[in-house]
Amino acid sequence: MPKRLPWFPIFVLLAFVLAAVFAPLLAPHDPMQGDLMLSQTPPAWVPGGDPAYPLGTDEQGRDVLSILLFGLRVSLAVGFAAVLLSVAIGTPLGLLAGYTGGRLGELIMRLADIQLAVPTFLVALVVLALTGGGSVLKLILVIGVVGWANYARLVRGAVLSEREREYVLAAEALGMSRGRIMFRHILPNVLSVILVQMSVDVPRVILLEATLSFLGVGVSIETPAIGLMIQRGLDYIYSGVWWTTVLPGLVLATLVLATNLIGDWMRDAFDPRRRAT
Amino acid sequence: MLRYLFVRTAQTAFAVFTVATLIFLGLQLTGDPMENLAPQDMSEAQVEELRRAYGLDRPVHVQYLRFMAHLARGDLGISFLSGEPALGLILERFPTTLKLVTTALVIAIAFGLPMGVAAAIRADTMSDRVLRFLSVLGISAPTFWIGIMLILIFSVNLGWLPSSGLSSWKHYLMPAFTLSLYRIALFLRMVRSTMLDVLNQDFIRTARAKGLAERVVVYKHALRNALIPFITVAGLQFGHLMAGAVVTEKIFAIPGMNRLALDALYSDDRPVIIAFIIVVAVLFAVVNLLVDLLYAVIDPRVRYA
Repeated sequence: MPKRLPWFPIFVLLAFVLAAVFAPLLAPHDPMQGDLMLSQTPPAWVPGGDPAYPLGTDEQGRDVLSILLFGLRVSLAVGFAAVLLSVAIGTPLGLLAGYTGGRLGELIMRLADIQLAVPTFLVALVVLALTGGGSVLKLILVIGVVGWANYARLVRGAVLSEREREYVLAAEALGMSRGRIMFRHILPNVLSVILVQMSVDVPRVILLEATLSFLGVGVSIETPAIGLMIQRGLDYIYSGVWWTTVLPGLVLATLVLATNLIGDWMRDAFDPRRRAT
Repeated sequence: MLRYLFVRTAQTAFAVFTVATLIFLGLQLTGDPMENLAPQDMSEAQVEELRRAYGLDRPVHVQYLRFMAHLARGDLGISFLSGEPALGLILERFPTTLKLVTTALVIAIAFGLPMGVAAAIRADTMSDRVLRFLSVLGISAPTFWIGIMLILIFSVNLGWLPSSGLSSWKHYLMPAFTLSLYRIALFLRMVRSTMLDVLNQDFIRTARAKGLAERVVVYKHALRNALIPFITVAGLQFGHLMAGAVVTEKIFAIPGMNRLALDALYSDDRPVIIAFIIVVAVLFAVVNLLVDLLYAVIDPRVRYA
């Protein structure tokens, strides 16, 4: 490994993951049950704040900290699950296109080209809006399916250069089945390419989910989600209520920053071309 | 050259045709537009009449052929909401988005490119590390949040800049910066890594060995080569900005085509949605073609036969 592990980002990401997992235990209040009498209480350190609501409350008196803790679940679940789904669809197709090639391989790559020609954001936005908004599961499905093409393309490229290597030729000479060669022998050798792309995609998808939810086509309004909180907060920034937009955005940016820094490290560590320079 | 242009134009037409077909198929899968279109209190007979008026009562393949025939003539239907031609509505808003996006892209290139070069020639120094950290910060901050933070600071607290519309140059500052921040960071990272790749190549060593000034080596030899992938990325970002300024146009209440498309999505105004996607598809294809042609200008090795 060329550089030491990025301890700080790893620590931050781990803290966020733990906070999300244990949200029901950590959250001081029900994230979706507000007390209207206490609506728009500022954070505890601001005059007028209430120590029972450390980060203040939103327009319906719901605890900002609790919404954030539960919102992290949505961000992380969509971020990781959607990317895993893209990998699960794209990797076998890329292996197939690269190793067996032929008409089927050609067809797969043409489809990937079409998919890559349209921005993911636009496809997800249109599909979600026209099918009447979303849920966490639907977001994972839509974003995950739309993201397959990049993995298929990358895996195919990596397989093409692996295909002629001695270990593959040896496996072929031994009469192993194509499936076994693809998944047991080639796949482990192209794993680094997949991992590097995943490390780029997870932060991107976390932002994508937040943006879609902000635009009102992401998770349903009963879900505690960071993007949704910022959307609602936007209506009140002129009346001096800054904590429902500033704070969730800071949490989101910190989460994405940590994953991006880990991703940068992974790219340096796994990309042999970069290691050389 | 002419032959190349002809082939590329045919490819573009085919791509738009494919996109149109996919949209048509996709819309068939997303349910009956009448559910959102018809007012709640409409009688069954009135709904049927409305359906006939929009040609939605015909068999699917007839609808498809009519859709394609109209598309070929540039007719993308009438907006369900305003009753005006959908394509006209989108094209009317097109210049607004174009102006905003061009401003943003110019800002992004003006900052991102020199910062990337600076980081590359000072690789692994303190200033390189600072620039790199700022660039990770730039790609990590949610665009919609940056926009809101700018409004909070410059409109709500300081009262320096207007927060909505595009009527003067002052109106452009915040939305253009919101759109460009991510791209500044992206260009910085990209230019830095390609510059480093190029600077490690043999011809740069040769250039240095024959005693050329470092300035000439960096700007004339290295930068010219690093610009080739940069142009692809910048071109792609132009397309992504044109079709992705939704959030910015919403936050700053800018009457651009993304805003119109978003409103059409909320109200299920399908002809406008289709017109928007077709315009975006054509735009992407044109940008790709321009990028390929620019290659030939920058890289003398590229010649289109």
